[in-house]
Order: sequence, then C-alpha cells, then structure tokens
Amino acid sequence: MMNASIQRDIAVACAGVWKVFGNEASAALDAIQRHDLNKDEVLAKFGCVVAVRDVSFEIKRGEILCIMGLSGSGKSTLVRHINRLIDPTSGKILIDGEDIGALDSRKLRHLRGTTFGMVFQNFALLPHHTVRDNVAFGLELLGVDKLPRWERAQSIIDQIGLKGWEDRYPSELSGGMCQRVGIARAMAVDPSILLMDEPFSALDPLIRRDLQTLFADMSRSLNKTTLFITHDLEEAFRLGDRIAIMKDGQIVQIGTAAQIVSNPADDYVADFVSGISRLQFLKAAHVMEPLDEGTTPTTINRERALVFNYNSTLDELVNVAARGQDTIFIEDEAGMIVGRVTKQNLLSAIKEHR
Amino acid sequence: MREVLKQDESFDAAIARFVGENVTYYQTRFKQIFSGQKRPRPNFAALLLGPIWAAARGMFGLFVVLALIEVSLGLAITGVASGGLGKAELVQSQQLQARSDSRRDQALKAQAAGDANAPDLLRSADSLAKAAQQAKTSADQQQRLASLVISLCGAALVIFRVLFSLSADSFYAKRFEKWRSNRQISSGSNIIRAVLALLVVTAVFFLSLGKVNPELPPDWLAAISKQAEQFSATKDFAVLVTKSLDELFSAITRAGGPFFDAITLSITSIVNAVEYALNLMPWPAVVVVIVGIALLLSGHVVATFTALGLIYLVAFGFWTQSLATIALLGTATFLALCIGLPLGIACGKNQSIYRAIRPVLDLMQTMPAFVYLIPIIAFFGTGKTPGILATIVFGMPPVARLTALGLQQVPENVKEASAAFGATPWQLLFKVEVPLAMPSIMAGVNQTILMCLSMVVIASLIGAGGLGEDVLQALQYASVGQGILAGTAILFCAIILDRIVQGRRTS
Ligand SMILES: Nc1ncnc2c1ncn2[C@@H]1O[C@H](COP(=O)(O)OP(=O)(O)OP(=O)(O)O)[C@@H](O)[C@H]1O
Ligand SMILES: [Mg+2]
Repeated sequence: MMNASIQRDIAVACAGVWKVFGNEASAALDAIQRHDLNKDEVLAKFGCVVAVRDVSFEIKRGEILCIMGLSGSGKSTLVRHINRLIDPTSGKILIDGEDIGALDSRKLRHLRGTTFGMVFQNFALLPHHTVRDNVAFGLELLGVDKLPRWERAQSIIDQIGLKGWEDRYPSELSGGMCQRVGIARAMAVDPSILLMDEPFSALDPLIRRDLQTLFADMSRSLNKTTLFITHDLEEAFRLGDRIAIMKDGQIVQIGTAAQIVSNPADDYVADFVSGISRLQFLKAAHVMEPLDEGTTPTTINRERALVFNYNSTLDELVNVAARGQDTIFIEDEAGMIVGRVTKQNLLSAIKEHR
Repeated sequence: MREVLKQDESFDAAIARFVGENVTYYQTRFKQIFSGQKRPRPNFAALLLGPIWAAARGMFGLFVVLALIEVSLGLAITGVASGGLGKAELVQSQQLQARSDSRRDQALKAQAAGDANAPDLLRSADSLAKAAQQAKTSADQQQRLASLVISLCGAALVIFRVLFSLSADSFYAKRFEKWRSNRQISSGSNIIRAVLALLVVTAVFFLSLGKVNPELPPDWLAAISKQAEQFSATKDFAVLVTKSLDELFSAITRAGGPFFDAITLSITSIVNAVEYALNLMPWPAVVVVIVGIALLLSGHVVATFTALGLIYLVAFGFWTQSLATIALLGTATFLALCIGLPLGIACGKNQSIYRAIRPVLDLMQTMPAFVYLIPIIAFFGTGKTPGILATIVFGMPPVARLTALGLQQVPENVKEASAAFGATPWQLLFKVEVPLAMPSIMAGVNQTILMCLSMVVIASLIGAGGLGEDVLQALQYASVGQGILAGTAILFCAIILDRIVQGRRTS
C-alpha cells in the first residue's frame, strides 16, 4: 500500500543507464563493467566515448531536478535518454512506471507528443513557421485542428509575454524571445514532464534572470515535473528542488542545495560549489541556541514574543532582527518552542558562512 | 582501422608522427612556415628527387603534376639532342620528293602516249617538288635551332626543379595541416611509394621515346609500342561486343513490345490532350489566361514580360509550334518532376540509396543525347513519346540532385526537435524537411525546366515537332534569320514557364 503510493509519486526513474558512443559500444561496455576502465582507457582501447556511466535517479512528480556538470560530462546525452531520442547501451528508463525502452514506435511518438515538452539550448525553432505556428507545432503533430491549436498557442504566448509577435518568424526575434518561443512550444501540449537542455545558457544575464523567474513560476503553478540541465550553479540553486552533479558521465552527488553545500560528496563537488554563498541555505534550525535554563516553552508569552518556524530562512530572521527584535523564538512542526535566535547568533552565523 | 577521436600530443610530436623521417628539420621548417616567415629555403631531398620526393612523401597529386612537366621537358630534350628536331620534316620532304618523282614519271609516260592531262600531272609534280623543297628548308632551319631548344628546355627543367624545391616545404606543411584533422591521409616517407613512382616515370619516359624520335628506342621497345598501337587499332573485340549489344537490344524490343506500346500510348495521349486543350481557345484567350496566371503567381513584372513574350510568339508566326512545344515540354517536365522529386527525397533520406543512384544521374547528364536516342527509337519508334523520354532522361537529374541536397542540409537540431515532439517520419518529411529544403528544390525544378527546354531541338530530330523543328529547318537551309527567330521563341517559352513556376520566390 505504502510502496504503491510512492511508486505513483515517481514520474521519471532511471536505473543503471549507460551510454557508450562508438562502433564497438557493447564490447566496450562489457570490458568497462568487467575491468572498471575509465573514460580515457576506453577511448584508447575501443575508440568509444563513454557519455553516461551507470546513472540512476528518480524525479518525483512536480519536482524540478537540476543536473549540473562541466562541459562534456554527458548532461545532454542523459536528458535525451529520458524521451528516448537516444537509446541507452544498457539500463532502463521508466516514465510513470512504464519502461519506455519497451514501447513500439507509435506508442513512443504518442508519449513524446503528449507527456514530454523539450526545450533546446540552441532553440531549434522551425524557421519556416511563425511564432504562433512554432508554439502550436506539438499540437499540429497531434492532429489538432488549426483554430483550437491557435487558441491554445495564443494563451501560452500571452502568458509568456510574446503578445504581438505571433506572426513574426524566428529570424526576426532576439535570442531571448526565441527561447520564450521554445518554452511556449514545450508548454503548449501541456506535458507533464519538461526536459530542458541548458535553455538559458545562450542568453545574457538579465534576460536569463527574467526567463528563470518566468519559468519557475509557470513550472510551479502548473506542477510540471522538470529535468533541467544547466552549466550555471546559481541557476541550479535558484530553480532546483534537488540538484544532481555529473562528472565524466557519472552522477557524483544528488540532493538538495543545502545538502550539497553543507555536505559535498567529494573534492570535485566541494570545488564546484565553493563559489556559492552558504547563507541562503541556512535555516533557523542551524543557528538557534537552546533556551535559557529556567525558561520553559510554557513560560513564554506567546502573545508578545515573536515565534518562527524552524525551517524559516536566515533572510526572514535577519529582516525581523533588523527591525529591532532582539530574540526570536523558534518552534518545531508541532508548535513546540525548541530554541531561540538572538542578534548575536545571526551575526556569528553570517560571519561563519558567508 | 579504428577511428580515434581524441588525440593527445604536442605540436612537435604531431609533426614527428607526420613526417616520420628527418624530424628535426621539418619541425624547424614547419614552425618557420607557420609563424609566417616568408624567406624560402630549398629542400635538398626535393631538389634532388623532384617528383619522386613528392611521391615518397605521399603527395600523389603533386607527384603527377611534377612528373608530367618534368618528363615532357626531358622527352623534348632527348628528342632534340638525338636529332629528332626537324626529323619529321625531313621524312616528309623525302616522301614528297618521292611522290613528285613518280608523278613526273606518270606525266612523261602520258606525254609519250599523247594523253590530255599530261600538263596537269606535270604541274602537280612541280608543286610537290616545291613542297618537298620547303619541308627540307624548314628541317634544316629546325636542326640549326636544336642547340637553342636544348638549352632552353634544360634551363626550364633546372629552374622548375629549383622553384619546386623552394616551395616543397610549404606544400608539405599544407599537407600536414590536412593530416592533423584526417589521419587517414598518408604520412611519413615511404621507400615503396618512391620506387613505384620511379617505375612509373621511367616507364612513361621510355614508352614515349619512340614518339619524339623513332630511332631512339631499342628494337624490343619499339616492337612493344608497335604491338600496343596495333592493339588499339584492331576492332575485333569492339565488333564482338557491338554485335551482342545489338542482339540484346533487339531482343528487348521484341520482348517488351506491348510494354513499350503501352507507354507510348499513354504518353502520347497525355501530350495530345494537352495540345488539344491549348488549341481549343483562340490565341487572344490563351494569352489573357497565361498573363493572368503570371500576374497572380508572380507579380506584374513577370506578367508584363509574359505578355511581351506571347505577343512575340504570335507576331512571328510561332504560335502553333509554341503550343506544341509547351505541350511536349510541359508533359516532359511534369513526368521528370514526378520521377525526380521522389527519387531526390529517397536519396536525401538514405545515404546508401544516394550513393547507388548518383552514378546513374551522372551518366544521364553526361551521356550525349544521341547515344540514348538510338535505343529509345528502337523501343518507341519516332514521334512525341521518344522525344519526351529523351527529354526526361536529360532533365530529371537536377531536380533529384538538388532535392537530395536540400534535404541533407536541413539542420540536425530542427529534425531532433521535431522527433522530440513526436513527429512521425511522414510528418517530419512533409512538415519540416521538405519546407526547409524548398529553396533548393525550387532551384532543381528551375534547372529541370531549362534542361528540358534545351532538349527541344534534339527531340524534334526524332519527330517530336514543335519549335525545335523550325530551328532544325533553319540549320538545314543555313538560314541565320529564321534560326535566330525560332531560337528566341524557345527562349521566351523557357523563361515564361520558369518564372511562372518559380512564383514570387524569385521576384
Ligand atoms: N553522437 C555522438 N557520438 C560520439 N560521441 C558523442 C556523441 N554525442 C556526445 N558524445 C560524447 O559524449 C560526451 C558527453 O557529451 P554531452 O553532449 O552529453 O555533454 P554535455 O554535458 O551536454 O556538454 P555541454 O555542457 O558542453 O553541452 C562527450 O565526450 C561527447 O564527445
Ligand atoms: Mg549539452
């Protein structure tokens, strides 16, 4: 009973996925698994490139999983496995519990057309279609008639802020606008899973921030399951519920931003996240101190004292403290007061973690 | 050989791997060349060996060019040095003298017999003797020139060799650049290649010796050359193959009779129907309709041009012939497109189909039309159908080729995106690939129309009729004026058709 409900919660699951490019892929894979060769050895011995190496992860429904890694670490290859644009050399991909490796081509196309929306780093818009027809492309492929698909496209175009550009061609748009079209095109079929391959990497920082916000709002409000590939650490931390870090085709760590920052799995990850400020991940629970002897939860005057949940961010606490509050009481989920935070606590936490 | 994608080597190591021998010399030279030092330095191996060096280093194109030039110069020098210069004229003069003598004998005999053309014979004998004298003088002159020619050719040879040795390292550096991204290119220096090249050069040189001076080659070599000449002159083998080909084709003609008849019938009926329909209306009506279509499809510039062209056709009395041509051509183009477009799409989608079809397309375009006219006449007789078929053979390749090219150039990422949105292969083809390849496809259609039109004259040779017949007549009677008028009429038909089909795209 419990197990089944967890199962239903998982939208995407990868189990032991390997991808080896090259003519002797399966022989190479065999040798790798037997002798534990690394990337360069495989290249020298078999002339094959190991792009994805034994990757397993799950994405819960409605969750945004960010995959990060250096160039060439296999991110694009991995995301193309999820809708089977690339077949794995070995391993399984389950979408809503169904093995997509076992689908015939008709079912696979249907799944791609209805369940997935994909956004590409280089936009990959259709140059001979207008913005409207680009957005409606997925519906067109599904055989939806023109009027209903135009209506649907129009509503997405309005949401994404391209009103007035419907009849222009992609060559007449800026990069940022093109990528909005790309996002709108992916959203138009109302897919339950979004696959984003470095969608914002080609854009300048301001537009990127705009689109990140836009995307985060849309994705959250529509409750889309998202696999989001990025180069950019801040982007991953802004958008991702969880973050996976890839290196040489392997996922070296997967977890929430706070977990990764406070507890990096190895030097590579530590190096990767060293630039990020830790403050944004600190919670009240991390900085609070125990209550004084003698003050018990019951003696606090709940009317006059300020009480925050222990999951409140440091930001919120600082705001309150800045307004003059000396002591903030912290309660747990059950409403029990478990500790307090003073200005001193806040300052030393900031000094320590900045 | 396994393709290794990743190379991990320094610049020096790469050069070392490429050149194989003489590593330090080439490392310094390449670095000088790549850092823009223009001062040339001779490569002594190249100076000494010339084309053989190029071959040993794997530069076969360079070898062929060098060897051709140097062997020709060498042959010239040997020929002249052995007294070959003026030899041909000397021989010619002797022959002429002999003929003159015999002619004179004849003349004397005729005079004795009292024949009337004796003076003629005498005159011809005189002129032959004069020609012989001239040839003798020129031979003498040429022999006097010999030393000059020898020194000039020798100087040319030396200068050429020196120039080559000065630029040899640059050639080799260019080669190195190519090799860096394509390791299949031959590298290093290889004695076997050098020996082979030497053999080729020597063989060519000695086999050609007989041509510059017949006395030079030893007897056995002369015998070989003679054999070779004789072999190329005998036709036994050709006759044999010709006969069996003839038999094959007549067998096909006999066996495929009903099949060919069916094709003839269907194509003829299409052409006749089109021609009949065109002839139904009086010419003013047709002009109005065509100009209207041009205006709708291609705008007013093309429409004006169309009107002018049509009026030209009417005014110079080409109207009926033009309609016949349009019917013929329209049918041929239509059929060529019907075959060429699907073929082009198949080729564009599948590389191995393309590889198989491409030689056939090349053949269709390069084979002279008269060659395939013969079997076409054998199968289909004369008239419109064979004309149309010949036109299709010549006109179909461009549209197939350019369609294939257009499809191949559709960006990979757009195709991937379509697949990601669940496109079926047909949707991918008709909603993405064909629209994106459209400019290229239309260029192919344009080429096909023009190619078809250029066949009009040849088609009329086998009785297809139309404007080509006028041109043909003009050719027979050598009447320039009629030829130009009829040719212009064909030109107008072609341009009008093409501009209308291209539509606004080009305007
Ligand atoms: N079609 C292919 N054939 C051979 N090797 C490939 C192919 N596609 C990718 N690779 C190899 O797989 C590895 C991972 O490539 P991938 O494109 O997934 O990297 P990435 O993490 O997306 O990099 P980037 O951030 O630069 O986009 C690379 O080493 C690349 O050379
Ligand atoms: Mg990538």
